[in-house]
Amino acid sequence: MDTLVSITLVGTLDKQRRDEAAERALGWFAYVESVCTRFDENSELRRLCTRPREQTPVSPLLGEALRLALAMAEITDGAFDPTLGGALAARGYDRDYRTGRRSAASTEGAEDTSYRDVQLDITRSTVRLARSLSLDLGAVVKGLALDLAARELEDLDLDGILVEAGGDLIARGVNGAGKPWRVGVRSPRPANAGGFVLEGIDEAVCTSGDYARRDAHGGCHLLDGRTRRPATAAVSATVIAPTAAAADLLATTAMVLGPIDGITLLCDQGVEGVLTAPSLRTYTTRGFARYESRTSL
Amino acid sequence: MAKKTSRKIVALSSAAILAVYGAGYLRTQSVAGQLAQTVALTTGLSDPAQATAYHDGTYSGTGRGPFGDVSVSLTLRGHRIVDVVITADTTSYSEKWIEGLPGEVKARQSARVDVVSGATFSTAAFQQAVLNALALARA
Repeated sequence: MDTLVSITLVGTLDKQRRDEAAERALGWFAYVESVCTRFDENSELRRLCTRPREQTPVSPLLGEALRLALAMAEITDGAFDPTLGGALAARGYDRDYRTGRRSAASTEGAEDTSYRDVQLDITRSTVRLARSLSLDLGAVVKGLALDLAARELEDLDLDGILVEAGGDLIARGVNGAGKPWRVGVRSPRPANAGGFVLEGIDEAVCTSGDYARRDAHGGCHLLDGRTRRPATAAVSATVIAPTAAAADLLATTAMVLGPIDGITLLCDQGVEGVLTAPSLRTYTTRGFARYESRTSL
Repeated sequence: MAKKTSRKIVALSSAAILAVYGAGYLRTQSVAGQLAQTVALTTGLSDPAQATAYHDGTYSGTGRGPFGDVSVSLTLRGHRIVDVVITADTTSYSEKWIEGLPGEVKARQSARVDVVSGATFSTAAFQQAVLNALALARA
């Protein structure tokens, strides 16, 4: 989590309840990060990676995040792979970009680890890593944190909520004008035209793009699990889904798969979305057009 | 893609949210500490009682956004922010959008700036840069 979180509440609520709920919601972001970050050697995720070949108990959060990531890896035969932490660190993504501090992120398993090396027993909540490797759950955790934060706000009996973190968001109900939420999605290449305005958003919208956090060679920070090289088949992907965890993970994975296989994946997973190819041509799922607004923001 | 995996990710994610939310989280030291840091950083030095937690010196911070990064250099003296300079701006947008923000930071003694309409990403990156620099001043 590298950016500001913004919470917008629409409705009537006394100040104390509002502040307490906002603090609890933000607390989920802090908690998810403290458990799942690759950049802090004290996180539960990093401590798990220090125990290869051992059956290790994991918290519900780490277990569920891994379960999601592993499911995505299985569905895509490893195009998405959560064991690329070593490969990412080797490409220079080894520092927490908020503080700039290098955290001696592990480069273990840079060469040939795969999701198959992670054995999760969800019923017993244990994980066994078959070998030394470095997990990276960056594709899951921001979305999951958004879902948990939004869940925290749902009991407040409000007319609408909007939780946003670094361009990914969950919108529910209505905005301050009493209308369904409208969301702008920027073009991945701001010098060009393009971008969308989406209307009637009552769910999660997550965008993955190649324009943030490039490595020293100009490569995108998303790696293709099959080649361990930067994804180049798409420049951005936006997914609309009932949960942000799903939208986040599917947008990331669709980026790796590229326009054709990416759209197929989104259709198969029952979500709507749009992918932009390097040519800037866009590919959409069939139901995406229903969200597109005719008027600008 | 096999039919049996259709819609699996959404279903799994819903189950995950239920399970994790149900388990709750303990307001452990680290979480409470991070929250306290966040609140302190947003308040900045606007509260003189809090300002003593910030050490004099010059600190750099970088905020990353979808269209580029903004870097700032913050100088603190006498537990006040005395200088804010944008040292780098790789956003695709002209720096004129955010050139008024350093002045706001000095006036408010915190990262709380008014969002510049049409430059929300640059503003957020600038704010994050200031927050990161303030975090170093508190460390």
